[in-house]
Amino acid sequence: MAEAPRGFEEYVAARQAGLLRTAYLLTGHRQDAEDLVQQALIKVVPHWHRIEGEPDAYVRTVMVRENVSRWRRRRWREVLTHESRDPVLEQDRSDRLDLQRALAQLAPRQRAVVVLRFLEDRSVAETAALLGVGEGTVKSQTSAGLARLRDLLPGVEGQEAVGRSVASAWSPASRNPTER
Amino acid sequence: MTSDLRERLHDLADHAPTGDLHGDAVWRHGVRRHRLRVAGAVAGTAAVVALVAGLVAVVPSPAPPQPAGQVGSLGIPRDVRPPDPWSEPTRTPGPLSAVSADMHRQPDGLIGHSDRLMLFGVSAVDGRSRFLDLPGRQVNVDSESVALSDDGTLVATVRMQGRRQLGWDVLDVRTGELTSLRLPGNQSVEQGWGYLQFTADGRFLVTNLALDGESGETDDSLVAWELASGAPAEVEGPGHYWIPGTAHGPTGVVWTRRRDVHVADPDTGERTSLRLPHQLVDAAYAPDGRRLAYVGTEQERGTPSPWRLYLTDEAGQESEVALAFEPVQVLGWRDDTHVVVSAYGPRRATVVDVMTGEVERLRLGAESTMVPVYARGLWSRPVAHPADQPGVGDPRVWMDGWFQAAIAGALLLGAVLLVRRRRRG
Repeated sequence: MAEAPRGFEEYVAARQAGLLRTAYLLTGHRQDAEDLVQQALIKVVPHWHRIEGEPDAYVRTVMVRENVSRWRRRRWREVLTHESRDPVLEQDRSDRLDLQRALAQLAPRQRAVVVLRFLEDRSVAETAALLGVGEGTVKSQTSAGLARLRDLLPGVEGQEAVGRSVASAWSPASRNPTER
Repeated sequence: MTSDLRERLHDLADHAPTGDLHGDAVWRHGVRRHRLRVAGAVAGTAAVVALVAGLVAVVPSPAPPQPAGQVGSLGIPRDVRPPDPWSEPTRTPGPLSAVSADMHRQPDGLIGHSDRLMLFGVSAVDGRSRFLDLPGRQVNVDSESVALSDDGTLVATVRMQGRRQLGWDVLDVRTGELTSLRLPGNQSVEQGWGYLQFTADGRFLVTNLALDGESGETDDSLVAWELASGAPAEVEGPGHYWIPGTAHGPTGVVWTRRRDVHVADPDTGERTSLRLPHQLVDAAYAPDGRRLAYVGTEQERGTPSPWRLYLTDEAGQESEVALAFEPVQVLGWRDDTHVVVSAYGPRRATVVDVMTGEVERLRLGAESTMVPVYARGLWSRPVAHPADQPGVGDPRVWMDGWFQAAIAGALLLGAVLLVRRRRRG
């Protein structure tokens, strides 16, 4: 079996933390987040030589869409018997738990829009490209997602980003990803 | 706690797992998964193709009934329709009411095909047409190189080998048995057939015969081949001008020479002759053997003269039957008082009441490339309505439109699934 290219190993080592941050907010669960990131990385392996120059956007696209697909699959196959709670946050009885629960109330694509726009500071166009939807859809989903969060978390304020985050500007040439 | 969503999201994300993924392990996993998916896609496509091919092969095609051995009840077909060009030839189509020829098609290479003229018979049982599986290449197929017995159970054809005529083959369409009529030492026969007819009882095939190379005007003899033994018996020796004229009767071998009608018993060689006022073109005795209908002309050789239908009774009294058309051939007798004659042009066969002179147009026709040869004994039955000839089509599965559509659909489905998978990462 072919060995992993050096660039791939470096990418995984450098970017998995950042990917896990996004995945954690998308899934709402630590274990699911790790699974999601691993699955996304596995899926990009056949395409690595094509995306090696700038893999981050592709990996995040795969990850976000995989999360939506997982949600769809689970909705059909699994019956929720009890709410899965993050044990770390359970001990941390703070606003984080409220935010996590509120995020869980959003539809997966809505949640992805909120995470991409407000955690990763991505523009409408970038978010639309990552999700494979139109910009109008991103705007409406953002608006609906914020409205829902405001209902669930009174007082929360969201100001939409106008530019892209430097967090996605990783490339093997830079080897210096910026994390927040 | 801040009310800014961005800060709160980052705060929550700070509690995300740090992860301990190793690039090489993920890579190996990814490569393994990719190989499995490729193998699965190939296997799936192969399975779909195999399934479609299997379905196309299994879908029952209408198997033509084999009426061999049955006794036909249908009469002469109003329309002789050729079978589907792709249909398989058979040696046992059962009793036939007519024989003709049309193009038979065979696969040639992967997608090509070739056509060749092939004899077919119209079943007297179900009206269906079937190609006849006769040996050798059938060239210059015409109604003078084919004979059908009165009861429609025997078909005789000229047998060629290259440019040589070996003799004649007789196919029993009930059993598929083939009788080869050959000269001793496999001597070739001079081509240029003109007389080829079964006796009414089907025991003999009567042909003109000259050895290969004997192409003179007086070289032909008339020979009755006994089908049971395959032995030829000379009925009329050489020395007469050209070949004898065709004629038919309920007994013996019947032929004509100018104004004479000859009847010979092939078993005994006994021969009777009748001289008529007109030169004979074609003639046939009624089933009871008492009346002779013949197409005749007053002309001597080289002098144009119209052809007419004449009747001669057993007392030798001759009369002309006035027709609105010029007759060409006496096809047979419906009964002892009704004779069937044909004329030039399509659908001109007519039944003539020899007692009253009344005529009945039969409007027989053929969609095949050869003028049909009819089973004379079946004129006594009502003319049969033509049967629909089932379509067979190209037997190659990959040339089937449904198969091609299924493959295209499978490929399209595969492409759609592939695009969806790629989009979903």
